[in-house]
Amino acid sequence: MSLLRAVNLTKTFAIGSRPVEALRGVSIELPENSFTFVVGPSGSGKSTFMHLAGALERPTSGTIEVAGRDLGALSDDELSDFRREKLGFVFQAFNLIPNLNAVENVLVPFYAKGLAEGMREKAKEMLKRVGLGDRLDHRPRQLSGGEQQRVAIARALLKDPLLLLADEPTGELDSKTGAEIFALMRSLHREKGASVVVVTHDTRYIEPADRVIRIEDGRIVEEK
Amino acid sequence: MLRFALLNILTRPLRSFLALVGVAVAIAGVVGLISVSSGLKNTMTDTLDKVEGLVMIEANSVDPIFSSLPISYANRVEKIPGVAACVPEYWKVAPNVEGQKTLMGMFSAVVVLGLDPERHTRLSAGHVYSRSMKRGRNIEGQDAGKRRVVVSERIAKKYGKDVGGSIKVGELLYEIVGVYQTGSLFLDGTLVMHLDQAWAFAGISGKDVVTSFYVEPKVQSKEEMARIEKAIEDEFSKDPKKVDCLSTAEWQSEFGKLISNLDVFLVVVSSIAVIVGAIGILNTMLMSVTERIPEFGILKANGWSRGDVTRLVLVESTYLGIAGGLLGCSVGVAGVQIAARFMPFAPATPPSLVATAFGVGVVLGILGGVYPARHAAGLSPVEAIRAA
Repeated sequence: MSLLRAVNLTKTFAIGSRPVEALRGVSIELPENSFTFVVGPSGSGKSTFMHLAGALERPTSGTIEVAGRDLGALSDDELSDFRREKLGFVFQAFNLIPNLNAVENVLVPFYAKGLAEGMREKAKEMLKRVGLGDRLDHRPRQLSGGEQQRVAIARALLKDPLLLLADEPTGELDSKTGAEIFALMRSLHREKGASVVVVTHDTRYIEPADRVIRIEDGRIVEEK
Repeated sequence: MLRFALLNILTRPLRSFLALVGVAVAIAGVVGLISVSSGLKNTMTDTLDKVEGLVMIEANSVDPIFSSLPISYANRVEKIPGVAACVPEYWKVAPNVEGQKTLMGMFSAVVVLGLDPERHTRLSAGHVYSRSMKRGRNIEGQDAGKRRVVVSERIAKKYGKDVGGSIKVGELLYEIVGVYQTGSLFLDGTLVMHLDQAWAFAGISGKDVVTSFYVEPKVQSKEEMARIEKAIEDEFSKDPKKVDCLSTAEWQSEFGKLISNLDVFLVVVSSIAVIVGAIGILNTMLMSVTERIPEFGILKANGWSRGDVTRLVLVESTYLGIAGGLLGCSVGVAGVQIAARFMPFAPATPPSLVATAFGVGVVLGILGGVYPARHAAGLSPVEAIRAA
């Protein structure tokens, strides 16, 4: 069964009065438990694809289904619930909340509806799992880039998402740290069974078993 | 959510403090202003409660100080049925005591009151001053022709005088024979002396003019007072100098008008303070929201709905309102206590005022958060994150 199914997906932005077609009819299917790279040059539309897959934006036309839900048919609140329950995000700029410590940042998705009992302990466990057991009380500015990205990964995986979406996760890291982050994502992928979609223009971390989708000018030009 | 909002406030101490101060200043201002006005109102009511009879003054003069009536009116008033006694009084402002000007402050004014002690013995309840003696004695018949005064405790303290000493009023020196204390702010600014000394002080030689009369009815009732009042005004209706007779209740309503003007002024000033507070908290919340746009993007990407973000911002601003209200009430109450030491009357801060002011603080907080909350909630997660 496929986890993600996009049919003839388009997305048009207006920049000033000028329409810009970021995606021009993308159709794709990703199976469950897959590790997929979406690659392409800057401005190719790969990040837009991730935003649509992550229910962060709605398509201009076409349909996108994740885990059997047609994201275009969901209300704003349903999309929020879907993101909170089913999706995990890792961004290039880490996107941690600066005034919260590592544990609190990992708990961010859960504060909205109230922390369930034991969540704080689970958050600490997850931080230990990503190698930050001794950094629980540190604020983002007290952490290195690699450590911040580990916090972001812990935040994305604490909810056991169906799909982890990573947008240039190593873009601001040196190559050694980048490799560590990928190693971590791969081990969590194996452990938790979550599908992973990595959007990147850096192809060094692709492994033979991975799916690779190349997007250029808003279209899929290669898929393997 | 409540915890998270609290965390956001506590981890940004400077900004939270600034917002809180904005609310607190407005609330403290409201508490202070209203306490002072209530205190002033109480003081006036206290004063009037101490004067039970009627005061007769020249028609259309606002105050006994500006009134002038023939002393012979007293005998005509005493013939009116129901009147127990009518005693003449001579009031005169003393602009200078012990070489110091007295008119500089609203509550430091000193007035001279000339009494006729012989006639005062006819008052069954006595006079407000004769009833309030603390030390020494009242002005008596033997003081005719002598420069002797009874002073209030406040005047005695202010000028460092006491019974047996002397006090310079204008250019003349008076011997202090007694000290009284009525406890009323307005009544305690009076130097009581013999009527002929008050005339001499005013530079009047005729001895047939007074400023006002104090009329004591035989029966103390509202209806009886109203009847006597009408009878007195009728008695002099054909004279060249007509009279106004005012009971305590009427003085109160006169003061009431004054106070309600003061209240309007206070409401305007308080409203301005509250609006300034609201704009302050709105500004702080808006700044805080604008600064945190990427953060709201992160929250939304992580599954926070519009409603969640709205609630978060509103809860934060409500916390600030609660803290600002508490701080404002505390500062206001403490400020009033401190100010009371330097004020001639006691400000009144009823619990209902504090409760209302606190409520206003909380409402300010909530209102200040509404627009920023809507703004934050309406952001698209992708654009918000890109704003970083």
